[in-house]
Amino acid sequence: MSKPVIKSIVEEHPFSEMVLFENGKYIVFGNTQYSDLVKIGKCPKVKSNSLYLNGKIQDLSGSGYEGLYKQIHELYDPSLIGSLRIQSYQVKFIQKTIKIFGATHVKFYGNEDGIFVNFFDVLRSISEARMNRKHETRLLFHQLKNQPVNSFEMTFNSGSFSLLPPKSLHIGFGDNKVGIFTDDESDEVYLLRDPEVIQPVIHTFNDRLGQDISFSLPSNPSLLNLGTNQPENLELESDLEDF
Amino acid sequence: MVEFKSNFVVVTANEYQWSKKVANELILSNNEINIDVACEAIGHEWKTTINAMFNIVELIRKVDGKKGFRELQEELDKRGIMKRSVFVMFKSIAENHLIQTNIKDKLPTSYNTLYYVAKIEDVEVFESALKDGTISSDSKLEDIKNFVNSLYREEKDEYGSIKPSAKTINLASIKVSPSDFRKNKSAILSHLQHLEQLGVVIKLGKDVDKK
Repeated sequence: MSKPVIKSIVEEHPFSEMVLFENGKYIVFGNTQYSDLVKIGKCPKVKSNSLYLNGKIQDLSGSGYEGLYKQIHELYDPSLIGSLRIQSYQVKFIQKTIKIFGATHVKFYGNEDGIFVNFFDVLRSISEARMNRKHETRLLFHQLKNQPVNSFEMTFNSGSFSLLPPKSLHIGFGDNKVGIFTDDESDEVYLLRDPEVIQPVIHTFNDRLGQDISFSLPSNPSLLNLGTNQPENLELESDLEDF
Repeated sequence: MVEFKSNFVVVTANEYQWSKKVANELILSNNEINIDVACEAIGHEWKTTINAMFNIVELIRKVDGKKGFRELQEELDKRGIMKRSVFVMFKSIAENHLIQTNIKDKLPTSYNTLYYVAKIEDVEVFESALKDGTISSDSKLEDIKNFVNSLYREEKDEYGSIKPSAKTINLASIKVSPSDFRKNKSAILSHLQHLEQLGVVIKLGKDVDKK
């Protein structure tokens, strides 16, 4: 009875490498390309616990399933630093913009002015990746809500964000650097880990000047050092073509 | 009058007297219903139900976003206290801070209608709907649903008209009005000079007079 259900769940998630079935739930772990993604869904018909790796059942002891499930449960029930609900057309808009803009990452952030999403290509801020020096450092930002919220920010991999269903979603931003995307209708949950990349452009609106101000971080490999956002030197890799 | 304040609703000492009166006077001696007492009693209990609904909203507001919130939702369902679908509705109501206990008399009295009211996040739209009676204690579920759907349609159309386009931003760009520049000229030029010393390439606009 449960075998066809398991088979269809495994097949429905081509981005997965591993699927865990535990206590009427399934947990899909993304493959190498989507290693920041975990999906949790319901399958009440599947009574027994099992683990599938690349479509093949694995040998795991009884407590092993529970232990793995507990770890995932810990991930998706943290304290939240922020939250918002986005409509299906907003999800579609973000996914479409990612494609058109060629964004590698999207950054969600909130402050007293509302909630925003920024689109950027992080490769453009890494000197080794800038094959063509005529590439501009670009940033696209969009306001999702205009209600003031407590300050928060979280960045997601665009590829994983594009796998989200275009439905109305509740997004919780966990203090464990995990974004929890819940489809309240189906109770499916997507967990997206913040890869903690640094947005190459800082963009603000200055009230006093009444102007947008943008600062670009130097195209320096030290940006890849997650321990600091302070480059070791201020040597800017720039010339007039970059301006 | 002595008042006992709970966390959410004011409970008065009259409550006890009131329930005693209902027990004694609801049915008249000839076995007929005392309509006045019955109306008053049912009205009173109905109000208590509405208070209870707002108490639940306040409780959820207190725990929303805390570690274990998801577990709470699952446990309420597992223990048969509140189904997931109902909890999700209350959660949505709690997340909208325009819905406050002090305006409960102006809001629909059922949680599923209130759930749709909670989808209105814009302060101006919410207040104007309260003012013109679109949202009221008598609002019907279908009416509120239609109203909210019309708002969503508007926003959806707006999204449909947005054409995402790349906007090139200078690495560092500051525009200053001529009068501001004149007023703060020496400070601005000194800052720019300092940035140049740090290795930043500064490109001034053609109209900038450095003298």
